[in-house]
Amino acid sequence: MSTAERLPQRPAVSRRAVLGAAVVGGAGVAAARLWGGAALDRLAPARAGQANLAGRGDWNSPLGGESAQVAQLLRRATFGAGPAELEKALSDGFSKTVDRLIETKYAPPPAFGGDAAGRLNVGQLQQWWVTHMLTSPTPFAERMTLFWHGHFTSDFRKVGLQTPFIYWQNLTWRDMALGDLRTMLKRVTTDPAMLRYLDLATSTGASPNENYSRELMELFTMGPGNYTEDDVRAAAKGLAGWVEPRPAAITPDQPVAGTFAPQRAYKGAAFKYLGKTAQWNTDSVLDQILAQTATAPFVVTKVLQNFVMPAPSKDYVNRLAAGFKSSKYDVKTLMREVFKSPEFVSATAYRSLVKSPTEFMVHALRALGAQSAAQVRLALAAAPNLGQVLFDPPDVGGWPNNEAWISSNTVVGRVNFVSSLLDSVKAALPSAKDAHRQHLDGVLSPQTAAALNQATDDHNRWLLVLASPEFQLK
Amino acid sequence: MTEEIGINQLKRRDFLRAGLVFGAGAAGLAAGYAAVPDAFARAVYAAKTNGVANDHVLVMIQLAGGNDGLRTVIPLQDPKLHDLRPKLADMSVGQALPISGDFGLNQNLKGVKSLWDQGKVAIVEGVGYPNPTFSHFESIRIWETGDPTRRQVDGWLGRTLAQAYDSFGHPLTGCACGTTDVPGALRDLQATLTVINNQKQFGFSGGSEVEAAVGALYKGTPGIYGALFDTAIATARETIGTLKSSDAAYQPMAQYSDAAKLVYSSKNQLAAALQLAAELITTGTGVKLLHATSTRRSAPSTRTSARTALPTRC
Repeated sequence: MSTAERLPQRPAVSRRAVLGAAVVGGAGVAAARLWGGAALDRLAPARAGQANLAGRGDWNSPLGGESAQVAQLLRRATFGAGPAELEKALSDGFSKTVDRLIETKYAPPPAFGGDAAGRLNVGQLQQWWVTHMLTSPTPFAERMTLFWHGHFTSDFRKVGLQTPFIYWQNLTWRDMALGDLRTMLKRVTTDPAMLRYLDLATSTGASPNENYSRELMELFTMGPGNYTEDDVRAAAKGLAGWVEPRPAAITPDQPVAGTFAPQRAYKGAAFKYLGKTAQWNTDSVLDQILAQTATAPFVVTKVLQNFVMPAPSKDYVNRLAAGFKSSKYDVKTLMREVFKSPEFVSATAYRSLVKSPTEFMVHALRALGAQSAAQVRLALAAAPNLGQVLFDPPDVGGWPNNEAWISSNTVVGRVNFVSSLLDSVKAALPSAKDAHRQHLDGVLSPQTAAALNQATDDHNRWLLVLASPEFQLK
Repeated sequence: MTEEIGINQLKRRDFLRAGLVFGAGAAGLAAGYAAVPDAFARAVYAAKTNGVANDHVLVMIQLAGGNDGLRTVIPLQDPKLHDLRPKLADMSVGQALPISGDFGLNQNLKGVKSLWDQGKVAIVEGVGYPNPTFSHFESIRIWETGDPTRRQVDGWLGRTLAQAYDSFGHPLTGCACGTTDVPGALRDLQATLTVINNQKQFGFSGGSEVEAAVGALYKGTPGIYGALFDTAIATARETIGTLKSSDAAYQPMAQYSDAAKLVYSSKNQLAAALQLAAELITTGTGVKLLHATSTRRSAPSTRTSARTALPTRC
């Protein structure tokens, strides 16, 4: 997050000048803003087929038009849209689509199960989730689940695969994704995978483990600098006492929370936490965190950096944070405010976020209507090289975002994924005629426009669209 | 992703136990988390003063994760160790491998001890910064940028690369091996840097036509990430060309055979990264800074000890 905040100040231009590849925008170059009408088939397709697409050196934001707003919404709130979804959203309009995404109850994924011995196979688990991202009628829920997976992280390596805990966590995060933060924090705190991942299950009042206490404040709610080391030790005492569910309580597809063992809790005198002396326990610790002024802005900043722009202004953050807090930390209210804020459709927001590897690959699969198990496996196979393996974030801070997804290794990896995906669907590629409008808003750089003008068949056109810099952004 | 799981989990402990045995023709230098960035940066600046047409190469091996400094380099005489961590003192001091009157290495670090005896190891002890936070992330960031005031955003190695070398058009001047993204210490937009996760897979699977098409696509890309994208693609293309010729020229000094029970099997990501580093050095690609990492914390208990990784003062 800290790296993203500094992006706009980076001397990107000088780097480009160094490369000697700067292209002067404007100057007689016609805009390729093909979005205009309310629905795709009402767009100005005028340009005599595809022969003469023109690009611009500066990607002028098309977000003044509602259809581009809708397309951006689907790129960010879901994993991009296929033609039918796009068509429906375009005819519903922006506001109605936001409401539908937010108000539709999530479609639960099919039961995953596991093998007879109850052991999870992480590759199968990844396949199960990506398949659901791809096919779920409520992809917003999957997008939010992915967001929370990167925020309230756990990984299968430490949690293990002998119990269904890491799978349960996915079910729980989906179930709580649009709830209120207070309820979420209680579920996160007592989640069996989290109890293992950050060691709360081994923490006792007599010998408190500080890991969960620290990350709860540093990474999940408040951010560094808003509490002291004494507060970390105090919350560790207050939170102690949770244990994993008893083995007898474990059935594969029915998540249960950890249980509280009073004999393991802290039994000493009242102590000070975040400025107040009391006999703290888990509930009061969580309440006290939500009473801090740092909490709402911290969570809102993270949401905005994932859904709107890498460096949201202080005013913007504080405005949404105030609403978030006064809604009693209702995430549904927050997400509606986020999508309906003027900033979401501002020129600054346009193409200001880099798709994570998962978003990029699922969008590509959706664009091509590729849903077979083998095609999903292509995405799973590419994931490590692109830097994002589900259920296996690099550390408790979750995945980095935006510019961190771009390296000489990952850009080649992204192109190679597109190549392998296209090879896998060669027999029945959908027409690429409208791909640049459906997936790139018709807003193209001169290079992308020129390349598409020269492409001779659907395979090459899809390759260029999906491998283009435009498609890497959301 | 499933294929990758389980085969590349070199344990940092194994690595330390085997000793930092590394050196590939040119000068090899190993730096763990206890190293002072500035000391190495100065060494590299000195190399520039001497002219870059030498074979001075910095290889940094980053053992990401937690390590108990007081169990690695053990203060043998400091009574505070006995007072503050009696259990640790009891189990470490007696068995330590003394390297001076005051300090000893952990009994498992026989390889490092042997290098120490040959004068090939430098240890920087007790590295920290004023008013330390116990946040792992803050500490790592400070370590990566070499700036305890937290204002600096570029990594110390990236800055070194940008300031001491003309890396433009020579993407292999700085190379991160065995990872997907740019390590924090190497980050600097003014430096060209290559990242190679898997040497065998590095290249455009669609062939030279795809490579050319993508090369044409990523030129003058608009937007706030445009320069990053264009640089990444240009760097990748340069690197692919260089790797092709260095692969052809490379003659390994040792056979990497899993049957030989090497500590680092060829399936191990760090081992593969170091072999790539060796190839880049010995085939004269002009590489100056190489970074390899054990990628991730993997041992279940590292997160606790990660908190004590930096401030090891007793």
